[in-house]
Amino acid sequence: MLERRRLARGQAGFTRPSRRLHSTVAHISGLALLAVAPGLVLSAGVEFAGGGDAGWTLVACSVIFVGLGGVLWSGTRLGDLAIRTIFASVAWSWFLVSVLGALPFILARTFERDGISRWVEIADAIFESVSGYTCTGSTVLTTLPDVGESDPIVGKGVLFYRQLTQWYGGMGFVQLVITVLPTLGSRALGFMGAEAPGPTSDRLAPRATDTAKILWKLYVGGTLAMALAFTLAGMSPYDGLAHSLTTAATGGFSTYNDSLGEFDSVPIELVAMIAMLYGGSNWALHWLFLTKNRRVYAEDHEFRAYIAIVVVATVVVTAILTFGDEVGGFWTALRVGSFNVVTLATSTGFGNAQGAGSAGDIVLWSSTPLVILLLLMFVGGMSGSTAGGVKVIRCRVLAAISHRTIAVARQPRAIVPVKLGKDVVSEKVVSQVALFMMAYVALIVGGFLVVTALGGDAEASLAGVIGSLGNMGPAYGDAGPTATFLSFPTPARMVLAFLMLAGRLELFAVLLMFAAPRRSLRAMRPHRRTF
Amino acid sequence: MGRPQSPRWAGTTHVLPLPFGTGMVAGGTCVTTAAIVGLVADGDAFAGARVAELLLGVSSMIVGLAITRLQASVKVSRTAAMSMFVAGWTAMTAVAIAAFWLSGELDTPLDAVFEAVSASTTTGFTTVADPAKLSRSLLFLRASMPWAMGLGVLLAGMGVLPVAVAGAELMPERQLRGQEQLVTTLRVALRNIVGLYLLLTVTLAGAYMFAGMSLFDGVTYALSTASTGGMANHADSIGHFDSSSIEWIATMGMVAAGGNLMVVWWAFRGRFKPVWRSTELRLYSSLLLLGFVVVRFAGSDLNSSESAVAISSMLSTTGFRSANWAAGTELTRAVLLVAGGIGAMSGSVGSGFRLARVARIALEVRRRLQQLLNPTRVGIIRVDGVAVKESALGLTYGYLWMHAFTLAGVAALLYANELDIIATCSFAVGLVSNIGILVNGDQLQSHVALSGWTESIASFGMLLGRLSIYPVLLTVAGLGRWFGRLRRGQAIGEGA
Repeated sequence: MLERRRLARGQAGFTRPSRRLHSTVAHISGLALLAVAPGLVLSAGVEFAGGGDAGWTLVACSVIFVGLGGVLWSGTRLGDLAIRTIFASVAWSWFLVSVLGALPFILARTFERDGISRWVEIADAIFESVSGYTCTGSTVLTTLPDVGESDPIVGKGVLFYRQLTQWYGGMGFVQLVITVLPTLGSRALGFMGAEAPGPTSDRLAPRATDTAKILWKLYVGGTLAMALAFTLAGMSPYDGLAHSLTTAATGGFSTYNDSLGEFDSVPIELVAMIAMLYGGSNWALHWLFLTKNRRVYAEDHEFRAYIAIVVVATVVVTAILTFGDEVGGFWTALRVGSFNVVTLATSTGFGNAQGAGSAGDIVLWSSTPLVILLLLMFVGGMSGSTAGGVKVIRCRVLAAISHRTIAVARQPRAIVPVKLGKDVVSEKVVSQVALFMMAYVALIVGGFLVVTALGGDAEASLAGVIGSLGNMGPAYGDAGPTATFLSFPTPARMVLAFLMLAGRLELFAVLLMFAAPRRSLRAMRPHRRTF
Repeated sequence: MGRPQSPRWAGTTHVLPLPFGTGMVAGGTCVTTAAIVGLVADGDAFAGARVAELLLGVSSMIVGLAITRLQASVKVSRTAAMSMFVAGWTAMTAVAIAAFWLSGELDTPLDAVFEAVSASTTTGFTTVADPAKLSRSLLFLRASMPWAMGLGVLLAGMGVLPVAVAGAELMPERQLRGQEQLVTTLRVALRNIVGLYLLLTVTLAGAYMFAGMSLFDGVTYALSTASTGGMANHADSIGHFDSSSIEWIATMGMVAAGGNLMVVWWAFRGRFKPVWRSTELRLYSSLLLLGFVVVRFAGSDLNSSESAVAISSMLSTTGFRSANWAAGTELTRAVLLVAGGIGAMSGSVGSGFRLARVARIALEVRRRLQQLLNPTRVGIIRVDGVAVKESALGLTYGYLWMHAFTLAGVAALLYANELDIIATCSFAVGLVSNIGILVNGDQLQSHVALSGWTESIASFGMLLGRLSIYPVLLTVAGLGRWFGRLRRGQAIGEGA
């Protein structure tokens, strides 16, 4: 009797084989798709409320996401949680969601244009989706409405979904998945690290799942606060919410043709700048400020460096624009200079130009401010933020490494630790930062060559590659802030999309995404344990 | 018992008289030779200036020799060795600046500084719109200065100061350990290095003349090619001759000059195993071949010899031009600009980031990615068949960042309204990699018209690139400490 009970429970001698496949990649991907599905439902609601045509399309897409996500999640179980599998899971789930996320655009024919084939339309939809989920903000959408336009070509729901893609991508849907997967245990930290492998540890609670929950609560709260601030500054509630989604994520998508320049409002731009700086800061600092330590911003050396970079760049760019008389007067120079410095330093990518040729159209500026903006795009925001780029702390570590190299060059036998202020940086972090930097530079050079080989203009390619890898948004030349990325040939856009994904996942997950496929496929076979 | 007080002027200056004097002698020799060439070739034209240059050159040589006698035999520290290199370069350039200014053919003193720095750093940028209008003396000086600097780089990097100059981390480990080294004594090392360099120069001069150049052009272009200086006697560089033979000769010369002379020596001696095992040589050859194929067949209008000149000129950081590849496809421009940024082989007279560092970085990225997947894995990087020490890798990381920061800083500080962002970036690469070419729209140019501020930044950029950044920074830091001690009245002994 006992043996029969134990047999039923699968405990004695022979274990009933599980009918579910063991695949961490598929399991996490399924959950990611399920996490994104509510956003589609919400967008469908907005579309119906706005009187658009794509409401049922969005509903259908949500059903597809739920169905596919459900099959992947319920049909699989977590397999091995080796580091290579974690990296592969993160990379493939992002890849799957980013590519499938184009489905609403494809079905709603958002990118339909005269003279292009359906395949190009699909490629454009994938580019836009990847640009959204990776919070890059580069766009190929030419039919964005102007403020007050009565009969926009693209419905409000589709545009709202577009904004939501960046909001999801900002904090990361793998982090969202972690909040509902208590079985991950200690490995949850590995998933968080694989999605955003920065040099700092942002554990706000003993358990990684609790840390993820705290960050998501902060993120949602921050988004709502920004929406309120935008509304008070003069936007409509819909515009305020739509723009707050992409500001919190430092993504930069706007629902209008000229981005924030459409509003031509200093209060709105000021709110945006403060919100972008907030989004580009370490969110752990915000939590600590709210709960523990009011001096945390002043005490954090990375935050001080971040603000210093923004301030110095603003002063220099404003001075150059003023003395070079490039935009007409000091106040205009300050307005456009500070806005563009903040938007690119935080990798958001909003623009405040009122059309091509206006003061905020950076492609008309001289080369020195453009080089400074390019450097800001390279550096990016703080670690633990939604911003892209190399990150301020990595640049500081690299500067410290250079300082050590000079010291060692003077005295080869000296043992010189790498220090940030008074804190010693461990050699493990030093080598991680060095590896990241080398891989980053290699991808910039390789990406530049490939994109130009595929037909991109050199100036736009260089800025496009740096902008894509750093998840910025605008490039220079023909793909400047008042233009779209349609100036790049379709194959080049796919390469840029890959670079966006690589940049969002901070390189390693994407570079290693093919490292575990064989082992994962092996793990998907049903298990049969015998004693 | 206290240590005896050293005299106030001793200390770090112990090590400076020799290089400073040597630099003055080198500069004086170039100026004197150029003056003699001018007196012979230019005739009565510019005679006054030639005499002044002759006096300058001879007096520099005499004073320089006298200064070298002040040098006591002292132990050289690493920092001091780098400062010696900077001191020697400074002295040579100072003499050249005076000569350029005395010639009366340049508009402003800053132009003389820029021209002298461009020559002595083997860069090749010029403020002169049409070099053909310059005197023979000045043209010879522009070509001989890079040649002298190239010799100095070879001696400093390979023979005389093997452990001191920045870039020493690139030296093959086995050479430092005494295995398979080029030679066993310093004298033989110098003989071989100088011999190879001279042989290359003479061979090129003969080949150029055989291909149709005049004696003067043959010698000056040979000096510029062997040193990767890229200084041309004509506005359109070697394209002026419109000769594929000359272009192929220039290509072979630049490829040799951009290569490691040690490897050339091994091939000369018939020791092909170390040649074949050279990771850097394989990378150099592959990039040359790949670059040639891309430039030739990727839609540009360049023929084979022009394509060969383009890729070898950029990779060796020489800067010769035979065709306007800037008007070609975007891919051609991108490939050539990246090649210029990568630079030549270590141990050559070329400049740039160096292929050896690129090889190390690529291998290191691969190793670290493998370690991410297998944290317990212990991987070893091998270059030229020899394991690379972690300390050498650390120096390479540090240099990567310093190089990138220098490029970015120079680009940001170059305030030239006429240049777009690609032109600014290519100008920065051209300065720091000492190539001497920038892409301005659809034009290639070595001639630049700059404001005083930009000229100063550009000169500093060329200096940082040629001297591999660290010696300049350490010398400046050392000077700061030296003045600080003087101000505090402290003795400056060997512990300074």
